[in-house]
Amino acid sequence: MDPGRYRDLYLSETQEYLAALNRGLAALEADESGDALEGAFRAAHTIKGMSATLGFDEVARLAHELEDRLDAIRSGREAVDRALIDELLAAADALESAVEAAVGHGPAGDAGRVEAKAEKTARRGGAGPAGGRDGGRRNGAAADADGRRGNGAGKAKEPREPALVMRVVIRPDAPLGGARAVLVQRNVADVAPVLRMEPANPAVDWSGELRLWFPVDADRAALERAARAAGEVAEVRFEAIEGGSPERGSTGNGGRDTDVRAEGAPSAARPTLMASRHVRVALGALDDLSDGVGELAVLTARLRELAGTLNGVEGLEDLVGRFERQVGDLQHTVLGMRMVPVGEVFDRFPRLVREAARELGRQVDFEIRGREIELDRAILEQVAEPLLHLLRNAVDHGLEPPAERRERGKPERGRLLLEASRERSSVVIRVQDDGRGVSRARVVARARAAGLMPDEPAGELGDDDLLRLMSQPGFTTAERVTEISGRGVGLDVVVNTLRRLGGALEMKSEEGRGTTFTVRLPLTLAIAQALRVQIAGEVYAIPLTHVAEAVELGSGMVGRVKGKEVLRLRGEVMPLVRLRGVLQTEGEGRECAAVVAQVGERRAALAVDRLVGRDQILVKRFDAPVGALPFFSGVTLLANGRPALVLDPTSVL
Amino acid sequence: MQRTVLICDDAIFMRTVLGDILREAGFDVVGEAETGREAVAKYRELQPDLVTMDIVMPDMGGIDAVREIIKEHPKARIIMCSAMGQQALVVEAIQAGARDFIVKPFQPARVLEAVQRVLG
Repeated sequence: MDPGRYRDLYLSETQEYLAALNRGLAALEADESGDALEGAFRAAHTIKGMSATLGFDEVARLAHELEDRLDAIRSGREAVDRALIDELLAAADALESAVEAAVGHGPAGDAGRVEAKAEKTARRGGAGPAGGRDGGRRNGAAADADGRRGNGAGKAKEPREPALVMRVVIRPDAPLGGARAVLVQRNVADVAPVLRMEPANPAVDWSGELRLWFPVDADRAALERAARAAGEVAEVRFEAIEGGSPERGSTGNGGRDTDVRAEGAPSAARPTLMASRHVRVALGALDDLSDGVGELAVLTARLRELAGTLNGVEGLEDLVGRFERQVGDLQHTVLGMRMVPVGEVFDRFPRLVREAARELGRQVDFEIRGREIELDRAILEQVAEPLLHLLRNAVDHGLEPPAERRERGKPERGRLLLEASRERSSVVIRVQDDGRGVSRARVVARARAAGLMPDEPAGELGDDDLLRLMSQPGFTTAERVTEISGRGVGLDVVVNTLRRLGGALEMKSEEGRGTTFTVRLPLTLAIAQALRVQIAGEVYAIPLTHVAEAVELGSGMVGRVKGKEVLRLRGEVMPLVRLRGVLQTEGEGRECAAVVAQVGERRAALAVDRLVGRDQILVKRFDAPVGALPFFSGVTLLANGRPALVLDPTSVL
Repeated sequence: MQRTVLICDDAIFMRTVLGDILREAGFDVVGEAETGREAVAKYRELQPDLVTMDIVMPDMGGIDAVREIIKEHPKARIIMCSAMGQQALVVEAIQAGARDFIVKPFQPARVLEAVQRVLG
């Protein structure tokens, strides 16, 4: 790359990051939230990426060292004190000089590069984490400052035994979080000895998260599972191995560097800039805000209805129109605030997939696509667990061991793809593997053994039928119980979780070729496009996520096949479900229309009395009273101010 | 097969609420106990899959009952029923061998989550 072309851009942008870096470092001492540290870390990281892109190796190296030290603070290896901050600020100054040298004076920049090369050579020969031989480092101009930095880093890495650090976050709304933490501690202690714990006594000193130290060779997957089994666990993360060789620490970072370089530093740079312009808002407040705006939208629609009845009031029409536009804009903004890129959750998966693969002896090329697709934060958080489940299942039950793949003439490395995309008003997430596919024979045998299916010969089972069997509670085809996917408990939980979110699961599988699970989710929990239908005098809302179309029932469209009612629609025959019957309501009117619901290949027509219209609705989830019909996913207020139940069409399918 | 539960609580109201939640979820409530001592005796007799144990009960509290039961049946699955502010007692119960805990006022979803975790 020609540095000259980007010099100005590089310089101006780097200066912003240097400012952010200095700001972050200066605020380190009083940094309770960790934001300052994160900010400084990101700034150093971004400068490194940009500089490496332009071949300013010396700048990149200095930035990398700074990043390493900030990481040491982050993982608790180095304590923040005044002296350390002074050191870091000095390092930031050195970085700034290096930037100027690299850009301003070509020769100096080149000299820096040469020097850096010499140093690399020296380091490669060097021994041990603590800096080891200093011989080759003594000739450069930066020798002094460098030596000091080297020692600092060495000091940080030396003292403790290497350990694996696990961070466990308990859901903030979980009651008695401290006691929950004790449960986590007890569970993980069965997997590996706990060397150290912070806080030492969570029952007394609880702040929402727990850090546990284990021997480096402890089984991460088993630890995570044990921690999660304690319940109410929001997050489990493994932090860099503490006190290991420096190579280990930088491998983690190194991986990320490569990404930054490959994908282009400028885009990676953006978040840092924006971060400084962000404020933190409690999620609850955000929910209140979006609820409030949603109510406002409903009220506005009501106002519009009323205004329609008042003909001839001067200016009213115009006013209502302006009101609507304002509320619409507001709604759009608030909705935008709830949206986060799926990458925030997806990026946690590669590591977990790798670990699962290692444990099960699989070789996997895991690819993530569509990181940038946005989804309501509340949905994204809850969909993480089901997705992880699908990924683990794919590694465990889908992908074959390398030897078996070779025999079948497949490449030894299995392919696993996680892809998000946007389809109309839904987000679609696919988990696709090129493994052995679902064995129909085994599913049927297993379903029979579990009493889920009559013993008579089964007809042609479609993928949807298979999925329905597989997602019965307790279903499993795994002949051995594996560490990773347990006893097959799960697909039912996955399906239930998705349904609670207004989503659905679909599956396509081809024996020997692979399986694709497709998760379809509404964009947001807050607002949905819905069809209003009338049944026995009551109006219900049906979210459009799973509605293919709606039709008026004409003569000859309804018939019977094998004693069951069906709808014939343009040559297609599908089961007809009378919602009057399902909802056990009686009342005036008769069924004159049908809504065609679709999940995967399964389609069914839901007969209703009348199609009323289409609306944007604000769904309020409710905890259904025990014994309530399981067809409702929430309630909403209609434009006329009357409440209506929200029907979940997938529950009827 | 239906899973069996023994509910231990000195308040009829709490036993009823919890019993309803569990029965709705398909459990077979095979017994109820009003005191810790009764809980230990009933466990011996019924050997249920699951026990819910209130912490504060007359005639041997819930924590001591857990100790007794675990001593005889180390694999017993016991869920503590506690109230906010009983953190220290819950921790003690966990150390005594309780597998999980739920907090009053009971939310059906949370109760069933805990039950599911414990029955794994």
